[in-house]
Parts: sequence; C-alpha cells; structure tokens
Amino acid sequence: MSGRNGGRRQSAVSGWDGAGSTLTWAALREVKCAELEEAADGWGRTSNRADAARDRIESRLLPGLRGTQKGEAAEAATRRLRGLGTNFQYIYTECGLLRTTLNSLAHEIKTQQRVLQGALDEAAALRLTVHADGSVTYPAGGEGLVDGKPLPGGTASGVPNPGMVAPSGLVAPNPNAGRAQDIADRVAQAVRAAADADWRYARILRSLKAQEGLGVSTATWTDAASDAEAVRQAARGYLKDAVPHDASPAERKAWWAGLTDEQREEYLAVYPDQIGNLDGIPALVRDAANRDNLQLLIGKLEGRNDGDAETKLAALREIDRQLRAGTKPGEPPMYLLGIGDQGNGRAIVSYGNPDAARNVAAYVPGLNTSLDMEFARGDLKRARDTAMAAREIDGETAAIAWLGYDAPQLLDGISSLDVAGTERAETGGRAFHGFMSGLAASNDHDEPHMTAIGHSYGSRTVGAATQYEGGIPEVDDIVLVGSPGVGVDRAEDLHVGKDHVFVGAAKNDVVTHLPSLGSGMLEVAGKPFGPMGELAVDAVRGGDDDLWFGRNPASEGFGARRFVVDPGPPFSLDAHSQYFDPELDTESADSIAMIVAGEGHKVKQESAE
Amino acid sequence: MTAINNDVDFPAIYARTQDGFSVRLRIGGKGQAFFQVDTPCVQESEVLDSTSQATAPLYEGMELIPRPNIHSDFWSAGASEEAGGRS
Repeated sequence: MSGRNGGRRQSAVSGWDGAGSTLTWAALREVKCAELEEAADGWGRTSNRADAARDRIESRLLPGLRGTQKGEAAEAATRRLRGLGTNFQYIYTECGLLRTTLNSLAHEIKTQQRVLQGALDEAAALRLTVHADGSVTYPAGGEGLVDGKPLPGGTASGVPNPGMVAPSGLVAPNPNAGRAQDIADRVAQAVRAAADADWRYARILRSLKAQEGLGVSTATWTDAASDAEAVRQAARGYLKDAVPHDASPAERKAWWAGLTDEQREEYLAVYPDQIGNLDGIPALVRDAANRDNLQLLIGKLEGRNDGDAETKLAALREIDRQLRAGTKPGEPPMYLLGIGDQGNGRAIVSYGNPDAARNVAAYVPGLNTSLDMEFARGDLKRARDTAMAAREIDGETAAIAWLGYDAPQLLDGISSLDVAGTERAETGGRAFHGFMSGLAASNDHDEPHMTAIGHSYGSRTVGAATQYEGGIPEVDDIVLVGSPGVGVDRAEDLHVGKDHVFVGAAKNDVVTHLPSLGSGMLEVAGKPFGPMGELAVDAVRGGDDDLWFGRNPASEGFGARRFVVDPGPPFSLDAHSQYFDPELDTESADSIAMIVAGEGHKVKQESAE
Repeated sequence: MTAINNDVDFPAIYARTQDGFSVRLRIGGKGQAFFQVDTPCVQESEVLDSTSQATAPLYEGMELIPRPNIHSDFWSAGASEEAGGRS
C-alpha cells in the first residue's frame, strides 16, 4: 500500500526533506498536524468503505448468488467475488493501518511542537533571542567577581541529547547564560525528537505497500501481519496501553462503549488480536476483529515452515472456510470470538450470537485437543450440533466451542508427557472463568441462562473454573461428560446447586474408569491413556468412587443428575467421544441440548428396554 | 426402541436397528416437531441437497424457522380432553 504521504520523499511530513540535520525549529513550528489528521481521516474513510464493500459481497451478493444461480458461470462468479472480497478486506486492513500511522505521527509531532512552543514563549518572556539554527543569544547580566560590572552576553547552542554533556562545574556567573542554555537545549531536543519521529514514520509508510496486481496472495498477508506489528510499535505512545487488560469484563464493556467510532476503528485496525480476544467486548466486535486477525495469522504462519505452523494453518484455513461458507435457513450463524497461535493454539467459535441469545452454553474440550484439523472439524461440530438441537427447544440459543487453554497432549505416550497434573486445568479454569464473565457482561439479557460443558479433561477445567470467586459468574447449569473427575467431591461444590449438575458417563468410556476397574480396556486402548496415571493428582483417598481427579462425578455419592448415554462400542476410544453426536448418541446429545436450552429439569430419559 | 422421553412439553422417541439405522422424533419448543433419520455411514461423504421442488416455504435467509402458528382444535394445546380422547 503506497501512501501518498510516503511517496518519493524521504520524509513523512511534507515540506521536510528528511535527514534530521536540516530540520529547523521554524519548520517544526510550521508543521500543520491538522493536515496529517485530515489525511488520516481520508484513509479511515477509505478503510470503512472497503469494509462495507466486503460486507456487502459476503453477506448479500454471495448468498444471493448461491441461493439463486447454479452452474459453472455462477461458480466462476462466486470465485471472482470472493477474490474481490479479499481485496477489499486487505484494503480495509492496510488503509486502517495508514490512518493510525498518520494519526500517531501527528500526535508525536504535536507533542514536540508543544515543547518547542514552551521554550520559545519562555525565551520571549526573558527577552532572549532564538536564532534560526537554534542557538540562543543572551544579554550581559549579573556581576563580575572582580569588578562588579555586568558580565558580557553570549550565545548558547542547544544540546539535542540530554545527559550527553556533563555539567562542567564551572558555572558561568551570568544568570542569563544558564536560562539561555536551557532554552536552547529544549529547542534542540524538540527538533531532534521530531526529526526522529519523522524518520521512523517515513520508514513505516514506505513499508505499507502492496504488491503489484490485484491478487492478494498469502505473502501479502504475511506482509500485512508485519505491517500491523510495525504500526503497533510506533503507535504505542498514541494509542497507549489504553486497552484495559486488567479491568473487569464489565469495565471493558464500558470502556468500549465510551470510545468514539474513530477510536474503535483504530483499535480494530491496529490491535485486532487484543480486541478480538478481550472478554467483555461485544461478540459482534470480537467477531469482526478476529476475522481480520484470522487472515493476519494465516499470513504469519505461512511465513514459517515447521510442523506446528502447518498443523495450525490447516485448522485456521478450515475455520476460515466454514466462516465463508455461509448458513442455510434455520442454521445458527458462526461467530469467531477468539483466535490465536500461542501454545497449542486458541480458537473460540460460537454458533448463534451469544450476546443476543437467552441461552448461552460453552463447551470446554479436553485431552489431546489443540488447534488442529480435528478441532476445526470435530470440536466445532460438537458445539454446532448442540446449538442446533438446543434451538429445537428454544431458538434463542448459542453454543460455543472454547479452546482457550493448552489441554494436555498425550499422543506420544509417556516419553513426551508435557502434562502438569492439574496445572493446565487451573490455568485454563481461570481463563474460562474470565471468558464466561465476559459473556455475562456482554449479553443483552438481564439474566441469561448460561451453561458450562466440560468434556474429558475439560470437565476438570470447568471444575477449576468453579473454584474462583465462588463459582463461574452467571452459570446456571454444568454438564460433565466423559469426565475423569472434576477436582471436587460433591456436586454442590461446583456452586450451581446439585440439581443443576448433569453427568453423562458411557459404560465403555475408558476415561471414566480407574485403571483398576478398566484395566482391560486400558490395555486395549493402549498408549493414549497409558500415562493417565500421571494426571492422577487429585485421587488420594482411594475410595471405590474415586477417579483420576477426585470422586467420580457419575457416582451416587457425588450427587449430580445422571442422564442416559449410549454405552458406546466396547473396547475402543470411541465411547469417549460420542456424547455430543446426534447420530451415534442421539439421546445424550438431546439431553445436553435440553439442559443448554434451560430445560434441564426435564431431562429424564428412561431406558425403553 | 432405545429410549422414550414422555415429557409433557418435549416428548421424544428414539429407535435404532442393529445395523445402526436410526429414527428420532422430538417435539421441540412451541410444538415444533423434529424428525431425524440416520443411516450408518461407512465413509464420510458429501450429502447433496434435495433436488425436488419444495412444497412448503423455505424461509430463505432466516436464522430461525418460525414455530407452528396455526391453531387446531384437535391437536393444539388447550384442545378439550374429549377431542383428544376420540383419537
């Protein structure tokens, strides 16, 4: 993206010819920052128009075309339109960055102008003369030590780098000399700082360039990712640490609501990853930020050539594909509430708008989950299936797949065991607690019905989340399936009331049995669950009801409501992974949906033998 | 028959054959009925949309299919016990 203000000139500020040495204080004083800000507004408007155009293509043209036309011509048109949509998205991103760069530059120049003006005003008040080169002439003054006559005047030259020149100790007795020196220094420092800013921003503006032609290749997105990083570094002083990371979700919501449209647009353009993953920010905003962030992440990972990047890339591309696929009538639309490449990867996807919905459920996946193809297909499908089935009962429902933590990976057996017992559940539990607080804050209803669903190790994570601040805010019901234990011994300790804790445990699920009980199964299951014993940090009592992490939630003593699930295929891991499946275990999937829709008390399916 | 939920508001019935063919009928919110038939799938495969002409509205572009809005003296909630008993 070639900025007009970058152009061929070496300087970011028009009128300067670049190298700091030729910048004078007079030139600094005359810089019209309002013009820079106007230019920024212009780029902002372009960015907004591009965003609106992309939106029109994706939400109106493409669905319209898909719904009414068939055949090769229609497919070709769809492809071209998608390409056009990508172009607009790229324009939106880069123009947004240009806008913030220019605003940030204006901000820094204005700061130095204020320093300069302060020095000039003081010089005028003291009747000192500031020369074009920044030196300051002072008149005779004070008293000579020998003859008592006023000491001769002189000229002080400014020192641009404070601290570089140590005070000589021989203080000139003419009191005007010290004042003149101070003013000259401030002038020189302002000019120096402004020239430095000019140089830095000129470099950034030059780098905001697109490749020739209309194709927006992945390399271009890789470039855009580094552009965003460069602008962010530079704009730190301008947009500052204003993103309220340490505030509560409700405070963040208020912060966002208090910003002007322009400020919001700038935050979205420069910090899509932070805004997109900030609990308390409205779902639609997070979704918009994360869709941009998804493109930037794909670009960033494209630039790497290792197995980890490839695994995550495949998942990101699959999520991107689903986001673009559009929804049919009666299907819940998709919202990307979180995305990231840190650790094993992060992705939070909602089916249905969680702010508008009266029922909101979030599902925490467990063992061996990471941002890979299996997550992008299987785990997202679980949330989607749950949303679909719950919407049969109550249409105002959203269901979320939440991969907001590093779940334990046991694929390679004990040798590569990177499990830290319950630590991941504790870390994840804190993050999940924050996420649910954010949903509660951003939801439009006074008292939304919220459900936390934990599968496998994810149920231990949900268990951990309930132990902060007396429970997960606003969560009314908890569903635990395929649970190896949740870290507490009684259902009421999850802080929703024991009648609101629902448990599904398949007879043939190896995770819901201790090795002593299910040793036969474990042998067959082999490696993946071999090292489960390493996780068993909570199991200390050794009672009959105990599992890996404390008492078996499916046991009588735990006191939860147990719903009917299919026993699952014997001697296989499949029994651990079909609780949400509307085809393999319809009864279980429907029970979960019923709870999510706020009708948990009606879950009472009886065996019809 | 694998399970029955005889709830007043959301009754459901599930059946499955030995080979994995299954049928499910569930009444959802506001009396909306949902019927689901599944065949065992050996291999994951694309399922094409129906090509036959629809005989009911398709609710193009709507996120939520409207719930039943026609009152029947016989079937709808509030119908007299007598009417129900005659079936």
